Amino acid sequence: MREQVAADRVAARPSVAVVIGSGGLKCVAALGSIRVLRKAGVPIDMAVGCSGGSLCAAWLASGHEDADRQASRFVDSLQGMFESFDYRAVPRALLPGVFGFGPEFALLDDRKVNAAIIDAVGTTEFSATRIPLRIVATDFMTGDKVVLQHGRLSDAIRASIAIPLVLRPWMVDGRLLTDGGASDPLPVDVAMREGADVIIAMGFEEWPQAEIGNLMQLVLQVKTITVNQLLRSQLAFYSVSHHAEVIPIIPDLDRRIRLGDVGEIAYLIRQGELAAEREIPYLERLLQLGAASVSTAGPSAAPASTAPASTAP
Amino acid sequence: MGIESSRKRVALVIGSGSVKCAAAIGIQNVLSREGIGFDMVVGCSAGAIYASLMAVGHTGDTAAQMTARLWTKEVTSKRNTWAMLRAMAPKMLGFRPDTFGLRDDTLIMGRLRQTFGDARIEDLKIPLHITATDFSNGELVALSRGSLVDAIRASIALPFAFSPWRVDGRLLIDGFLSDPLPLSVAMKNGADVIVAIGFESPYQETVGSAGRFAFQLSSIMSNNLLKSRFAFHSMAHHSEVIAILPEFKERVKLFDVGKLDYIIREGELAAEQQLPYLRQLLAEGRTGALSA
Repeated sequence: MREQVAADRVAARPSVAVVIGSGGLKCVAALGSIRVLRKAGVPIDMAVGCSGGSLCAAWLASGHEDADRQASRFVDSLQGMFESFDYRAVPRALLPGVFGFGPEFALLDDRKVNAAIIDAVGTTEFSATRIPLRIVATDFMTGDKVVLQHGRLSDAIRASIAIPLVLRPWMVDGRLLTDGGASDPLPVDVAMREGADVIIAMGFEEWPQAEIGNLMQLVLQVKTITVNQLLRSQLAFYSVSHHAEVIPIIPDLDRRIRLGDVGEIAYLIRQGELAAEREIPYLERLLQLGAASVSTAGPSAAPASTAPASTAP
Repeated sequence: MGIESSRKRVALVIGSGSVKCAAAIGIQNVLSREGIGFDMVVGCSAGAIYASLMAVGHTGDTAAQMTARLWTKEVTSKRNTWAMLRAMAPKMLGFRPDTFGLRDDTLIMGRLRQTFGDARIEDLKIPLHITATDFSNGELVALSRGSLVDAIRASIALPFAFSPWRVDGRLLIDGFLSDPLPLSVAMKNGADVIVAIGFESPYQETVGSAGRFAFQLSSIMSNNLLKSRFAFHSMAHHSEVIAILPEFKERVKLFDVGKLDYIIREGELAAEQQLPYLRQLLAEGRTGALSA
């Protein structure tokens, strides 16, 4: 009988999705946030990732508790990665007719990036993750948002992080895909469509360029403007439409973080923790984290009912 | 007087869309035939040009003739050679974002001055708001007073093509980057009924140069922003919005001035379809006023 009650409890519990938006290196803040959620006992039933967030979502979905270690290993491999400039890009951009120019144009040689992704997720397929995982990219030709949920994680992640002009787009199932942030920097709707009741949305605003002294910085500034507008607009829409409970976790960053700022990882993870901690009381009420343990444990485990108070210092 | 003051305020919002914005003239034609005037006009990017012509008080026919001469392919045909060199050797020649534009803007500035002279926004017949984007922080900026030509120039400052434009000390770029269809400006200025015409940016058929690549990216992002904003406003429903998003069967390129008649006709057809609903909304306003 008691087991039956417990099972009903589990079935009736709202399903929780974590959505990790685009934000380059800033996305590692999500690791700190996830750590806080796990410590508080927040159940996570689905992970959605976009651009830089797709890597964290993949770690989350594969269920590794040691995500930090994996992250730091990945970050180590980032060293120097964004310095392998593809010198063929210059003649292509200047004389497209002679050297050939196409959608696959990029300034960076992507071999190190591809190797790092394989190193991080291997040949794992979507079907093998512990909880369902969705990765968002953008169709380069039509601009549509594309949700990836089959095949290899490495292909999906590579497509999702294809920062325009920096990394070349990636072909998946015959579609040329680019950075998911170009269509939706925080794809909360993917979790809604999958039926999530509570959506924890980890998003990151881009910082304006500190100085604009060349064309590339100008391109990035224009991109920053639109992506931030898109992020705010999508969040405004989700909060008005209220199809599901959306809890944004947006870390307060006091500095600009670039892709190569590997030294800021600890700072980012800490800010991710702080941002998540602010939402824990609300999540506890919403998910009745304390109440659930009381009713499932029953009177025989009375001391356990005081656990929520003691574990929340 | 009581009826007059409590009449519903109608706004026309013209989104970005280069020569396609001429469909707004079609809307103006239909509504003026029906005796419906606008209490306010909002324009973004090329939409700012059409909004300005209306706010100045031109009829649809005159506006069509004027834009056929004003917004043509030539305005972007003259290269700014210095800008190209600066982009290639930024350190040596000095790259500055506030002056960088691959196209020379002398011709468009000349034409804008010829058309609008020294007009000031606050003196126009119909209240006008022109939107641009703050280059440093990305915020939407609504220009509701000051030099009309400066406001239009800022609103059409297409990134990389035209240099940003400084207005009241703020460096501004194309309005479509912050909102391709700025309904919020009409709402904040008290519009009850908003007739809005917006356009998706066209996608490239081939991406054969860095310029086309950049255009493709900006189309992807601004179209997604258009959809997102639009979804928000329809959900929030602060005002009645009559949205006209024409889907042209013929492909209209950025400066297809030859298709102007076709575009205006499409605008008229779209407006005629929405007329019954618009009449109903405005009638509701009057009944409310009488009973009050």
